[in-house]
Amino acid sequence: MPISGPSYSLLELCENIKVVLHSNYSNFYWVRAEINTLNHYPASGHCYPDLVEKQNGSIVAQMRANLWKEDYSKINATFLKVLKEPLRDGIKVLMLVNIQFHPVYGLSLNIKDMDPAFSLGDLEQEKQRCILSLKEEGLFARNRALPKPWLPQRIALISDASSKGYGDFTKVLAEAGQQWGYGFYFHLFPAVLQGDRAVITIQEQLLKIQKVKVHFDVVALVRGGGGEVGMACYNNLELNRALTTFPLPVLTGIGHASNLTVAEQIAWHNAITPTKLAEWLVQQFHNLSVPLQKCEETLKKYGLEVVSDAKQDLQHALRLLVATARNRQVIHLSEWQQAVQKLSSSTRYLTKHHHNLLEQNRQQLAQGLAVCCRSEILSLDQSIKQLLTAFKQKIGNQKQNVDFLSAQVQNLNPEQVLKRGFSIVYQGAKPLTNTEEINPDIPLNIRMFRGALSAQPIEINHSNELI
Amino acid sequence: MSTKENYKASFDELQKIVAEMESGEIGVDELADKVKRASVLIQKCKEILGKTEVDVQKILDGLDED
Repeated sequence: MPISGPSYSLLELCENIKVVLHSNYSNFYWVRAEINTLNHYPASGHCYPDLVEKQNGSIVAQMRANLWKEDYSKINATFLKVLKEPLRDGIKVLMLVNIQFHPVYGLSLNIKDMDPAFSLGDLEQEKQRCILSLKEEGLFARNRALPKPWLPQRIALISDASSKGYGDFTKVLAEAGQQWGYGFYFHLFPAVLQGDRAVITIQEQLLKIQKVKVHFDVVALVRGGGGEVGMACYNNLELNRALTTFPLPVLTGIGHASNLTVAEQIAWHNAITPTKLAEWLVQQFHNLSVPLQKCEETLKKYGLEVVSDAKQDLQHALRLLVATARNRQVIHLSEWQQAVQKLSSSTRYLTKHHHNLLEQNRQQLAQGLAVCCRSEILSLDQSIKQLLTAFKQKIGNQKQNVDFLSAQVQNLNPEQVLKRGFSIVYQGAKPLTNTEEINPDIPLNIRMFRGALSAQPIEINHSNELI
Repeated sequence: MSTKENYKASFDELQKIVAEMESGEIGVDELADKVKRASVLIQKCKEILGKTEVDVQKILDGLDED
């Protein structure tokens, strides 16, 4: 494109812009914006805030600003006084500014003053938004709806050990232990308790407690001393969500004099100060302890009466028992004696009866046995007689046999033959039975029953006929 | 030797002698010896039988007495 008209150096342009700007925007203006980041440099004391305007969460305008040390100190002091909050990131402000253009640093706003009332309203709005969100989400009364611990004794303590509030709180509990013997147990979960970092560190400690929640009855958020500033963190929606949904009752004692923060509103129990919170815990012990003491006294008092009554009742019962027992004993004794007599007479009768039966049996048996024996003896005698008779018969037979044999012997006896007139003829020593045996030359010897003779054979006839 | 055996042996011997005598094979002299032996045996048998008979009778008499 050909140059038509004059050209300027950058500085000339900047200087021109500066003149135009400063001539048109020479006044101070009240401007609403949000401090996106404060960018405070402690060394110089100056701040270089990054200002933004958001619509529906998107940045629609953005500009750099300068807040010089003196102005910052003045404004911050006012904020701390009025808002109880320092100047910080994320806060919405109404500020008195003039527009400044520098050839090197460009366009910026110089902040001269701020209206704390505007920021206060904004903070209150933020708080109300937080409450509204919690209610819409059904969380506002969530923690308060948790059942009351029987005795809140084991305490997860979110605090700062160096803070006055921590000291006050633990002192009251220790005294309660000494004075009444109440045994509180607490464990410190250290956190930053005000300002921007409080939201993060308290949430971190809540996560830790959640892991060991079985060891605790309550969570106590205790803060005090160090000035009533930086309390806006307790209106933070995220932190309050974490607190109200926590499974244990959350107790707060954050020593806040002005309007209740959201955290204090949603807490299961809120006390104005750490000391008050500790006293409330002690009172819970008292609430249990006093009825217990009364019970003890009542028990002692009525226990004695009960024991006395019971003693009387017992003695009465004992007397009754003894009397009844005696009566029963008499009845039993009588019954017993009757039974013994009955038994005795029955036994005698039975013994006698059995004895008779036995004797009868014995006699019958003896008789039977005698009959049996006699019969057997007779039978035996009979058998013996038969046997002996048979034997005798046999002897007779044998005698006959012997007699018969004797007769035969007698008959065969040679002397008997000789007696009957027979003779025996010898020639030498040999008796002759055949004539052919005879030697006619040798004399014969003849033996008779009585006597013998010698004879000479004359004629020999070999026939059986007599000569 | 028991009475029973005594008697039986004697009776058997007697029967044997009688049988031998009856066979006629024995000579006259031997016959006379046999007769003597037979007479002894007969006497012995008669004695045993007689004594036994007396004993039996005694027992029978005893049984009757009971």
